[in-house]
Amino acid sequence: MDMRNEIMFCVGLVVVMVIISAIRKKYGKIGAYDERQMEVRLKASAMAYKAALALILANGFVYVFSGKKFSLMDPYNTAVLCICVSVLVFAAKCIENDAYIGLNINAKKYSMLLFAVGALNIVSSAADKNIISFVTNGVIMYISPQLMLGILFLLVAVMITTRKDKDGER
Amino acid sequence: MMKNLKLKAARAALDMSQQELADKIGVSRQTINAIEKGDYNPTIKLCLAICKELNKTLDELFWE
Repeated sequence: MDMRNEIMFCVGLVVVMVIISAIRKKYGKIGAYDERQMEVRLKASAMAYKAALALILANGFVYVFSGKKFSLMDPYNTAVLCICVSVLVFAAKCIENDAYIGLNINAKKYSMLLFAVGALNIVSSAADKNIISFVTNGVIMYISPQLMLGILFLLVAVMITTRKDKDGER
Repeated sequence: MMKNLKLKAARAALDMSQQELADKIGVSRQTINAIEKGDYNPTIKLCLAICKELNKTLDELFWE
């Protein structure tokens, strides 16, 4: 039995845990936010939840109203995509209001880390034989999860680095 | 919400930047900026921390 995906998943998990513990050791608690940031993050969470719900409903409506002949994606891809979209919505709202990165975290270094993780995911997705496969009835049967996550990390990193401090100190 | 010019003036009187004040009370610079611009309504806990740092009373900084 081919266990490559499962092994890679576990390796990825260990790598993430090592990175997080290294950041914690150097900078302290990652999730240190002030009260305004917490408020923004709460609103962003609600927005992310609604975005995920909208995506699931859209897929469901297309399936039902096409007489169960057509759906945008299969359930597995919908789930992964929903997670990615909701994380992206959450990140966008938080970054816009300076509430994404904790008080004691260096934004530049953090975005570089996200770039690296994104690039690593995209590179590893190339090893997947079927990065994207469209099958009958136009249903997307498979998108490499690494590809989706890689794009997600890159987008978040780009948003952090390109955000301009529109209300700089006067 | 109205701009909090009293807070800005009190901070400027001590020759303190938004970043310096933010660091002293453990919030982000953007939070101080949002309070001064009137975009964010701080909790009483944060108001007290700001007052203590700027040697002012709640009335002096936050009463309209």
